[in-house]
Amino acid sequence: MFEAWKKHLKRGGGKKEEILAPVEGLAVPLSEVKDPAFSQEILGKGMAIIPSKGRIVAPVSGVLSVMFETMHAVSITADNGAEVMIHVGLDTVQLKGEGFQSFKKQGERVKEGELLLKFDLEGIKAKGYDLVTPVIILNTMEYPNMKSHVGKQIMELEPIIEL
Amino acid sequence: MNIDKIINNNIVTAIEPDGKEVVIMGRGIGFGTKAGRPIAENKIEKTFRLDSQNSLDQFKELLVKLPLEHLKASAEIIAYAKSVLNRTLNQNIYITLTDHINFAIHRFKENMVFSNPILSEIKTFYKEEYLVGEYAVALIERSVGVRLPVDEAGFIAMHIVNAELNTAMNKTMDMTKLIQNGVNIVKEFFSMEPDEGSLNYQRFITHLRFLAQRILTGELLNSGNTEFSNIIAGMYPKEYECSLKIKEFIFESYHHDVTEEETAYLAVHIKRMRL
Repeated sequence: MFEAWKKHLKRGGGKKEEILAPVEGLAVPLSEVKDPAFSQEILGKGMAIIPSKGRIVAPVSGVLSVMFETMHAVSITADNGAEVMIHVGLDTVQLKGEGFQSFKKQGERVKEGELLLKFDLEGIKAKGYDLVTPVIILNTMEYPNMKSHVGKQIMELEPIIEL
Repeated sequence: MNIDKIINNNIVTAIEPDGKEVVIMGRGIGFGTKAGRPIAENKIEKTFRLDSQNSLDQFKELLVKLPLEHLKASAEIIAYAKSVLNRTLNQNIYITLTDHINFAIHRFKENMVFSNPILSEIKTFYKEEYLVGEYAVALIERSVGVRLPVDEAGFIAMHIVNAELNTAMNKTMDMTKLIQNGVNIVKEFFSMEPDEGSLNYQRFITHLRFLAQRILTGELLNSGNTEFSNIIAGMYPKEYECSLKIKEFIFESYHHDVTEEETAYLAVHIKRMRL
């Protein structure tokens, strides 16, 4: 019981936790992403952004727990406990890092809004890749009341998910 | 055809010309009549033919006290499952599913609801059967007037899966051995002693059991081009490496190639167990 309270306090009491947009673009529901790993929420719930700019910033403060070698995906363990994964595009693992540039290393602390990745939006698109970027809460089960804001154009660091 | 035995007002048995006993269902078919008299053909709603006398005897025993609506619902669900899945089901499903549905309705009326701890696994791994389960829950609501919880859709799906497996299981594989070896590979790889009472351990075991069943039926998951395994390999490299060892073991021992997707799922379960 006290554990639950401690957790509650650590998370800033009744204050809602927000995940901010890591990239500017059009916010869409996961069901519109053409890959079952995302559309069927196999990895967790969340939303996706069709980017209009080639830069990814940290959507929360925490530790960059995973930076994929191919730099097309990252995962952050937020200070509030959420595990947030950002996956830039579909099948982009095949690019083996080409067109991607990273600014933080795995294990490093990151602050909300800090630049994590840059990618060549037009170049990757021209190669025929779908750049839709899912933002997934991997430990979804801990957030039964999570809400996403989709169906509109969003700016970098605009709130997109409420936990 | 004449009545051989009256089970209750709505169920009788008869002997077909080839000497096989059948169970016949129909409202009022056993009412106001006697063994030896002809069966009122216009009352026949369904005839059940089961392969073995042993199964038939079990079925008859179950039917004695069974409300007709429950049997009808079960028969309709089985017919629906056969038509949409287009697979052979072991005939014992008439016994197992009917018994289950009857029991589930009773339990529900007594406010004893069991939750299904592996509901999400069933939904993921047996999607088609789960849809039949959902259909069954809706049908039971319509015909019996009882709205069973979604967990029941999962239980019903499991009965259907079992009926599929029992027909496909022509060569017996030592499933327990596969599970045990899978667990041992994880133990060795991480030099850990998993907490066998934990839910995540149970999930891992259930997953291995499902995997063994899918290997048997040749229905390994393969959704084709998906990011799933790439992501899991990137997120949980150690666990993925361990699940590759299990894949290797299964290939060497059973000559089955575990798909990338299955390997990734194994890694997810290993990860959970290590949390």
